[in-house]
Amino acid sequence: MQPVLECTNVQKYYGNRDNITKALDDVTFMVHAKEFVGIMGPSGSGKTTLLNCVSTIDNVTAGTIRIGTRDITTLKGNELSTFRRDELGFIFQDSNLIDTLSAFENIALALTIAKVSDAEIPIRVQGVATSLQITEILQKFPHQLSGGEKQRVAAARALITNPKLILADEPTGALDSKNARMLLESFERLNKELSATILMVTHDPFSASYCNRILFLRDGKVYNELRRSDTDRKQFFDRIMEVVSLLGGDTAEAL
Amino acid sequence: MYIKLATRSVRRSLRDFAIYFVTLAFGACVFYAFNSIADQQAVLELSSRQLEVIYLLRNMISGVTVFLALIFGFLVLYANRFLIRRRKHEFAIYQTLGMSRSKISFIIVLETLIVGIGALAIGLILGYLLSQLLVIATAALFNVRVEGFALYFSGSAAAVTITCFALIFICTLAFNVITVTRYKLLDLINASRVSEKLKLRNLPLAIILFIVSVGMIIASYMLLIDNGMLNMSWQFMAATILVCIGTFLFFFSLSGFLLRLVQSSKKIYLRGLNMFTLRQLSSCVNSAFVSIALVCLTLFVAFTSMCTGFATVTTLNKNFEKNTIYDASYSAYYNVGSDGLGDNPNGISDMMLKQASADNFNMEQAFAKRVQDWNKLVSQAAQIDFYLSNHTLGDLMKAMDYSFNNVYESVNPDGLIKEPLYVVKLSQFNNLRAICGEKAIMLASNECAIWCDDDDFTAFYSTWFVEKNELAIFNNNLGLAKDSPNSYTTLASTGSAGSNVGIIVVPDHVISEQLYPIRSILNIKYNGSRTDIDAHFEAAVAKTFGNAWINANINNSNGGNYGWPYLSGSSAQQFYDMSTIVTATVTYLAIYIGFIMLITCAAILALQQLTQASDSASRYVLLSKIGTSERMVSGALFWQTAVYFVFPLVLALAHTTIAMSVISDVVKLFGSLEIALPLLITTAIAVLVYGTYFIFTYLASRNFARN
Repeated sequence: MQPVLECTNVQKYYGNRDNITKALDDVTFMVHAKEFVGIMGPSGSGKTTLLNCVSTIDNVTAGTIRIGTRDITTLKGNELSTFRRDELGFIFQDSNLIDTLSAFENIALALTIAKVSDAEIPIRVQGVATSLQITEILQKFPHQLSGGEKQRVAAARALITNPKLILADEPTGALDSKNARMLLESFERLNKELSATILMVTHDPFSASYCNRILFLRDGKVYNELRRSDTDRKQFFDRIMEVVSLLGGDTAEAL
Repeated sequence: MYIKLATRSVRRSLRDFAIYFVTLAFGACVFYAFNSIADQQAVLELSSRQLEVIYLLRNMISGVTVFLALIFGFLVLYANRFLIRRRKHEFAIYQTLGMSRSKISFIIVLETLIVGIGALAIGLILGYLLSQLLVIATAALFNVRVEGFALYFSGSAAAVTITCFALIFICTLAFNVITVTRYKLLDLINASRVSEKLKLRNLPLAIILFIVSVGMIIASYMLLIDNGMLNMSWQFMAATILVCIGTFLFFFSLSGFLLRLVQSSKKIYLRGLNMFTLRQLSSCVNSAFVSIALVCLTLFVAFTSMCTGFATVTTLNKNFEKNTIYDASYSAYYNVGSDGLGDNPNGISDMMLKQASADNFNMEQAFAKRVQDWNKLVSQAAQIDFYLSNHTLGDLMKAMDYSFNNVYESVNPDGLIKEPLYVVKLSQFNNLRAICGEKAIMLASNECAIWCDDDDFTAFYSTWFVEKNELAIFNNNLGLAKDSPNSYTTLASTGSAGSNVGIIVVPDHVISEQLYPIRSILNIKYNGSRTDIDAHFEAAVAKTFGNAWINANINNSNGGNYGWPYLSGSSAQQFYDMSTIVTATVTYLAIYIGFIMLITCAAILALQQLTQASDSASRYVLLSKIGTSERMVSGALFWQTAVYFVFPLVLALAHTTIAMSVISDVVKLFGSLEIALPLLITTAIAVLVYGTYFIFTYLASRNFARN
């Protein structure tokens, strides 16, 4: 089966000839459809760089990244924004909703810029809002919403265009544990019920335990890979913790 | 180090808000250039009359400068408040690092000085260049030659400009220092986190308010049109108050109204970035509606003054040729008595009778006898005598129950009713037409013709003849000549076009030989070109009568002439001089006022747009992350900026159009005012200056969105 995301020997260097920082050093992995993949690693391990490269916000120094059938490292200018619009969904740490727009409008924005017909928009927003349990708050503005509600609105915005891949960058970073749990449960549901493919960057083992598979990055390299298989979440969490303590870094210290 | 900090932050704001700094320099440039007009005499060879004009202009410009400096000062303070507020976070960092408030104030003082002195210096240099162009303009207006390519520097203008700027920037300094010392550290630190308070308004209320505001504006227009400009009645006051409140309310409710309007059409609202643009616009307009309304009203004042100025000039110059067919005109009034005033309002004074009958009431003969070389200087002359008929305008109006319903009546109703109806002889009228190159007219013995060049009064006489068929003049019942136009508009005397409110031309036999005229006019054509003869002619007449245009020998007890053969006169040259004076004064003032006000308004709008664009930078980053193309973002910004700039402009132009139509009614008293072309010129200038600001604002805010 064709993978949704295929990174082959991706390298990303910063600096000049005398002083090179290898943010990503020969990273190769695949994400298949309907997978919920987590990327973990200590600060400076390259996880955000990787996400930026996958999301076409940054470009790679060498290697290829395929999403679907296209090699996104060769896209330019307007192709990039069109590609992001049609194929990717984003969820950021600080929800990044537009504060002047209501929740409904924030979600609808992803469709209007894709020139979806106006008759279709309200129906689709209602649909995705129902599955994320945010129909009650659609007419509210971001400053009237709690952090968890904002993240779910952001998730709805990422999901509504039916992207091939949803990219989430520390989505629970700014949430308390209750709201974090609710958000992660909705991710799980999106993944299982709506077959969404999700790639989530996190340094929090608890969040990571909701994934099917976890890639550990260290110094720009894939260090380890964990599959959840049929184990329950508690066991998976313990296995994650083992790797994290091996890896060291901030997550271990934090615990 | 403080200097380094200050210069660096100046450089940064220069990059982001270049448009404001350019406006500052422009302001200094225009202040200098216009105030330097008085010193143009240094390089121009001006006659004493032209010098007088220059002095008059200087006084007017310095008065206007005070007013404009106030407006400009408002811009500087306003812009400064904007720029300081944006840097709260920076000040917080300084304070947490342990910098004292006085040191921070010192940095601000340095920055303000750098900006003020920099703008002033650049402005003065530009102004120096612009003033050289103004010399050429003045030279062209006054028809004098510039002596070589002489550059000049006006110390007084520089002093005025520097004083204005110094005062403005001292106020700014005080304001800045107070603001900065008042900030609390906690607020400063949190400044970037506190998102702008969104004023959510009740949308249905916005619609009602919008409709009310439009209603108020329309009501004020109607009141003004109904009342006119001259009556300071309650209607005028009400119109002024209504238009002000209406304008404020208009901008207060505009964004809500637009939002609701567009939301009602899903097709438009859910298309591209429309909803984002609208929300951006409404958050901007909501927080700035007071200043936008002020901008709109200021634009209105600027347009009205520019428009009135240009209208005066255009009207003057348009009628110039028609108005100066005769090279000179003289008037004699037969009721002038020994005191130089009319001692016998309806008859002839004894002194005039004695003087005039000696020359058979023939003005030309009287001049030729007294003025040396008269026959060499004058090629053609036509005299026309005015006789009092047995009617006044009031009689005719009463007989018809006619009302003019216009400014004439409201200004001086009594004068209108008592205005006598004059009659002239056909033969003299035809002589006058001959000088003008017009065909002689024919009248049957029971016919008359109307000589009038005012549309309102022509309509009045036409109505009379339609209703009454004939008019009794000295017991002759005269009908209007067949196949004649409604009125003949032959010029009565030089410079008088548009002011002839109606004279009846009658066959000679109607006016008996025994009747004395009340007034005579002698119109003259020179024997040669106007520029060659005028000075000689003036000198020759002045030699005899003391002054060529106002008889100076009126009641000189030994040999005084009591106003024969003339009391006053005027020449085409004089009229030409006057019109250049008015043209120069009015054009300069209109451009000066209009330009400063326009750039002030445009700069305020530009600043608001730019601040909003820079505050919204994160929103644009997000839009681009979720895949909005650059073209779409640019388009949204373009529309946002356009709407923001266009609404105040359009409303101000609407106010101006109404005000101008009322003003033109007032000015009609002095000749009809041409307003279509000036309105067009004003609009063109506005669109040019304003449009330039618009384009640069759009480009700069697009840069913010891209970074």
